[in-house]
Amino acid sequence: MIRLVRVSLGYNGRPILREIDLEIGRGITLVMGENGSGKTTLCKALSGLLPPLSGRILVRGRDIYREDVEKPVYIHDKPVILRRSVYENIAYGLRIRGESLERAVEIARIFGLEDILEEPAENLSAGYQKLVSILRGLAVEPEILVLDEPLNHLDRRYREKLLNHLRENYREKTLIIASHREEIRRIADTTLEIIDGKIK
Amino acid sequence: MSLPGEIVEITFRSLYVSLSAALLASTWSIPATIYAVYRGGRLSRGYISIMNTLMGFPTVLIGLLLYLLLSRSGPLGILRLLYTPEAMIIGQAVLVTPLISSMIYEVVSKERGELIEMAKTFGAGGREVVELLVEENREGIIGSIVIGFQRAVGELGIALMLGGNIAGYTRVFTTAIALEIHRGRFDLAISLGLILLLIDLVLVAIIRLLGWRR
Repeated sequence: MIRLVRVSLGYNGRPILREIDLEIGRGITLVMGENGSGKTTLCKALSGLLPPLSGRILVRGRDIYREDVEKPVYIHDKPVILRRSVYENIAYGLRIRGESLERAVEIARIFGLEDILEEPAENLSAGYQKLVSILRGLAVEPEILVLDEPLNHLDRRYREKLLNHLRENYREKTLIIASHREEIRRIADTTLEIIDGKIK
Repeated sequence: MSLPGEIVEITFRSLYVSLSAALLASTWSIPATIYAVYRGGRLSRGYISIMNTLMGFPTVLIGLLLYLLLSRSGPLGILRLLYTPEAMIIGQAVLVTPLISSMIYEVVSKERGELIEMAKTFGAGGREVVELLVEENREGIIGSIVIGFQRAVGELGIALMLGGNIAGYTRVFTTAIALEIHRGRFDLAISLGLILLLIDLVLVAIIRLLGWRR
């Protein structure tokens, strides 16, 4: 599904990850690594948001930086909240893609947020903002989803709920999770680890 | 100057000229600044450096350059704009452009990275990203325009050079205050100054109501 060919990633010409060759198929892939190891850099590059310093990133055989191809959906570690209602936040991706907004209500219901859909999202706690941010991604049901530290800020109840939802719904798709939390291992089909700029 | 008729007239003219100038400046400042923020990188840094530098451009020099452009023998003399409210509007618009642009830049670029990436990851195009940046920073953008207006309404050099302080036609607060001081009518000058201050206070209250945080 995703293939990296001799990819080096970094900022301002300085590589953080060097000469990576990697293939990520269907199922749930966990990318682990210490803080600053390059997990977010890798996730953004896979999602078409950070061009590699060298090498090619292919999705279904097509270069995501050179060809017109549907890119993976990337959800930030830090919640990105629009100054709108919870509903409008969750529905943002659907609206951009011209898809039915019903899915926003459905996904909110699954996570028990149906009663706060009309609340301004900026007034929510950090945990709820994180959840809303993730639900925006889940609502569009992308073929490839990249979640950066999805469990941060979430309490145990929502962590469980989210992991169960991902396990049930992303076996046949491609889900990449960047995290340093061990509890994600139980739903991962593959675990990669970034050590010293290389993926093991 | 007859009270209160002329003061009312000057008040409305000042509001008209400076509000028009702020709005005119925002018609190019908003798209140019948002585009610079959206593009990021060198273009963005270069743009804001130029705007910050232009903020320190002497008002009298802007007035002089525009005077030369608009004077009868100047390249735009054919438009016969010199000593009209329109010339003052153009001058003040040029004056407040760097200020409005810098303020908008500061507001919009705060969390631009994540916001733009979030929009792009769902397939938003350039136009949709720009719309999102404007919408998410609406209060800040309005606040920037209001501050631009405040700067314009309190400006003297350009109003005097391009407007000429013609009674009943181009006389505004600042030129009227300067004139009354020359005439030794300090009570009138102070009255006009207080009205100008009151307008500023009302605008600050509006900005606060909009919840704008610098």
